[in-house]
Amino acid sequence: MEIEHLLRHLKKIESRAEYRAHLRAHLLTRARHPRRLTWRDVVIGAFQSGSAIALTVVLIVLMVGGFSIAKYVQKVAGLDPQGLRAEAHAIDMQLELTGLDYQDFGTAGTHALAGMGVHRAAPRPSKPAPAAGTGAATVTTTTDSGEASAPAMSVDEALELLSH
Amino acid sequence: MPEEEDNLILRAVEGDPAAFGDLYDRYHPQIYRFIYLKIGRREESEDLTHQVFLSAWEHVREYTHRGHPFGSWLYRIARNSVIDHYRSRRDVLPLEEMDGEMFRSEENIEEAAALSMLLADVREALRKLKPDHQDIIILRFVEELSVREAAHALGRSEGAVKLLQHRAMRELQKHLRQPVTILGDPELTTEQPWK
Repeated sequence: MEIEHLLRHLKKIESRAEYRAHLRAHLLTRARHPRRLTWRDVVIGAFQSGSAIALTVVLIVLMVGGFSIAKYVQKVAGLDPQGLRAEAHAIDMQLELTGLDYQDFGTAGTHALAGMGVHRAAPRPSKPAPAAGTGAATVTTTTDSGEASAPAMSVDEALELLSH
Repeated sequence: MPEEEDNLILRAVEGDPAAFGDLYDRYHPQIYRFIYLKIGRREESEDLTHQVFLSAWEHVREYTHRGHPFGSWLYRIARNSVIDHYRSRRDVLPLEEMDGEMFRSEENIEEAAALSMLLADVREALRKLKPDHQDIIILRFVEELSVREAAHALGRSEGAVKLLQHRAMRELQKHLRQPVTILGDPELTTEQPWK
């Protein structure tokens, strides 16, 4: 027997007539008497409508008031990238200076500094970090006996010498 | 589409309950059958069918009549209802026994019994198919919708429907325990061996 023939037989499937009639009556009753609005429905509906209206009003006010995001975009676009880079570089220098002040160079570092005429600073645990200021800060070192005789040398010069 | 149905649809869209009642009478059997063949339980199928018509009534004002049968729209709602039904119920539904009263019109009792067994096999095989395959087989071979009507009901092109139908019939045949043939398909006229 062919499947098509068998499948057509399935068309005889029907729901129960009494149930169908009952549901039809129920459906038509609901259709003729739509559900009454409750206070809850009214409140929710009003809230939803009110929110939509308020949002619309805010948008209209912003548009009429000349609000434009372009103003903020222009501010951002007006930043000077070179200035920012210079500032960032200055911050890096301050960090290096702080590290230099407290760093224990060890023997090799001490000899190198001594060769340059720069002496290792005496350990001063409570010494505050150099105040932030210009990038080209000067390192003044003291000997153990407290003599302040070493010539002053800028950090940039010291670093340049170390690199050779 | 008959002019009478056009008129009923227009009246229903305008909110006439009587017109919608007539559409209910006209389309309830096929929507119920569609759901029943997919769900397999009478009570649940009746409830789901009722929900389909309630939903249709609630949204009938949004219905735009473009010349397609009203049934196509109802089938879409029914498909979504069945999908929702399976989402909410993840347990496997047992197959309901074939309703003997369904075929009592058969004159020969023995033939009716044999047919009933064959149909039970077909229904079981049908329920093993993917939802898309179930849909196309029910619409095209049980409800005998045209390719165009089935395409509209399923939201696919006519070409896609033909391809889907071909694949669905092949799958159905694989799941049948008894030998059957498919008309008009030379590749599928060989009887399946008993499994």
